[in-house]
Amino acid sequence: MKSFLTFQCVLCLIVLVWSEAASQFGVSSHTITVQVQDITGIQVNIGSINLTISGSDAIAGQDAMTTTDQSSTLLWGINGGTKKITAQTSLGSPFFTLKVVALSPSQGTAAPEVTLSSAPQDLLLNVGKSSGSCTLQYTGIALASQGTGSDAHTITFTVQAQ
Amino acid sequence: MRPKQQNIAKVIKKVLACVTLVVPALFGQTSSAKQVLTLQVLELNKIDLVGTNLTLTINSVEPGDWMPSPEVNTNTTLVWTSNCASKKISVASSNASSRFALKVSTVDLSPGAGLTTSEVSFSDDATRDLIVGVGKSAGKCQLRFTAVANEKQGTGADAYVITFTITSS
Repeated sequence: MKSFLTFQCVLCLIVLVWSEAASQFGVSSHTITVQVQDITGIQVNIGSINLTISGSDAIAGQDAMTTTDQSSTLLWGINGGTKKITAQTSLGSPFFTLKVVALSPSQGTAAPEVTLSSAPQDLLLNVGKSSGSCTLQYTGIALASQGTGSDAHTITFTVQAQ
Repeated sequence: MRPKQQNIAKVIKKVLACVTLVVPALFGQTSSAKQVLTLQVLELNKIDLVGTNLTLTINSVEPGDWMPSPEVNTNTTLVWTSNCASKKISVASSNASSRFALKVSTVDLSPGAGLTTSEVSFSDDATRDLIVGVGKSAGKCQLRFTAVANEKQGTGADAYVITFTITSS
């Protein structure tokens, strides 16, 4: 009886080894490399906006008249190192003053309000690996002595290495 | 390669292709964004008075001739802003036939903000020029109101609503 049980055990072991070998028959492998490159995406949620200075923006006796707009949101996705976002206008010599500042950035640090010019100026600093957003606050300023008119800006926001 | 392995390889290739195509598409691979902004400044003209309602009380006489002394008040400031050229500021009274005399003139007019006219008398409810040549500027001046009565007019009171308007010249 004991020898019979021993025989059964040996037989089961042989069957197991054979089945394992059989299941590995034809196995091959290959290497997959997933490469993630430096990706930078930036977008403004509104393509064009209008700021108008009218009578309601003026105070009698004051030369400067201002209007503000906070309808735009700047969005970005960055997987590289620490970056900054700059802003510049296409207008070389705007007639009126236009300022911009980033409000409530979900990542990074907002730079102080800047007067837009054709040279890039810092809007957001220390933007790390993140997908984030901030509100853009534009302020238009005109002096009574400047009279009436309009400035058409194309504003470019750029992600740059910091 | 077996058919099953070939299928697996095809699936892996498709996944890799998707990763390669979709990830950059999600981020756009752009490092700049543009927005068009138009800042427009319309014509505007604002005028306001700084000061409270006035009461001019004549209650003394000139020594010598014993005529009632004129009462003068300069507590009101007129302020304005205009971004258009060739404007003027006119003044009118609501009282068409006052018993006593009331006059107004400007004091300390902001340099370059306009030219003052002569003293305006509110003898009727007509509109008269107070400051002319108002250009693209913010300006201010004090208003000098003078009330005059003579002894034959006796006592009483006149009520005025004085309106200042900035208009085209």
